[in-house]
Amino acid sequence: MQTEDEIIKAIAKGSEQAFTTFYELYAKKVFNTALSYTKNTEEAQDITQDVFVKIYRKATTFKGKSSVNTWVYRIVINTSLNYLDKKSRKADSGTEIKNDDVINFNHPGVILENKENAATLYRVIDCLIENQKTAFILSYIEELPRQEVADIMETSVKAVESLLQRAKANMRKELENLYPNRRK
Amino acid sequence: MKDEKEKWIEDIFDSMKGSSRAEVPGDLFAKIQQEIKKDEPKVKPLFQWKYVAAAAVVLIFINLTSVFMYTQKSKLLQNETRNTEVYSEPLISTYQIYE
Repeated sequence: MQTEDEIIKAIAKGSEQAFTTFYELYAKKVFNTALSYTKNTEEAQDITQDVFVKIYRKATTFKGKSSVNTWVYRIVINTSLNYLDKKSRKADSGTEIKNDDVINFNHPGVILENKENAATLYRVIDCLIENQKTAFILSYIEELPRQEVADIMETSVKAVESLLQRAKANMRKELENLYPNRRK
Repeated sequence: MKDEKEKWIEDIFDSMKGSSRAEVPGDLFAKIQQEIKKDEPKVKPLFQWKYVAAAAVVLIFINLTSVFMYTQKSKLLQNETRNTEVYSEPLISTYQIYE
């Protein structure tokens, strides 16, 4: 049984078998994290594809300073944020973008009784600035331990806690505005 | 009313608890492999460059050794010629042997 570090070394040497094993281990994590950022399955697929191509090409640069998991999450987050950045610049320049999917996003993995609430959660996530969004997605959607979130974001656990507090406060304000609409 | 709102907000925050991960589309891996193969000839793995660098170092070493040996040899030849000239000089000071 190969460790994740050994798999990355094998990918760096061009092993297709190692790459397949790595994909099986990480595809769901990568796809779901991208889905949390984009709220669109097609865009999440594009990001996942981009991330795995990067991993294949950058495997030689992995020095093992962080865990493979942390390294992969960093790549997914950066790729997702760049993707969203490009998308918003296109929107600013007038290229048409469908927002219906984003507003009505229903995560396929959510249990039936939480569907409506989860859709509202995804709707208000967009009010957050980048690092608050990342801390929230990793902590509350990916359900990673705080220490791991801190490692991925290259910050302290205390800073992550602070980001989460501010994220929840901002989302709470948005939710308070949405609450009367729900009562009608 | 306030409590109801607070509870609703908390329920929203906890709405992803217990959810499972979304399934990855089945054809995605094939697309990734295709994308990798498309650009493969342009990207040379680092270990191949190591061999190229090693070969270059060996060639430079051989060249430098040849140049060094050549200069040493020509110096030696020059010295030998000079010595011969020194010893032979008095012997051939004149060609009038039968004077």
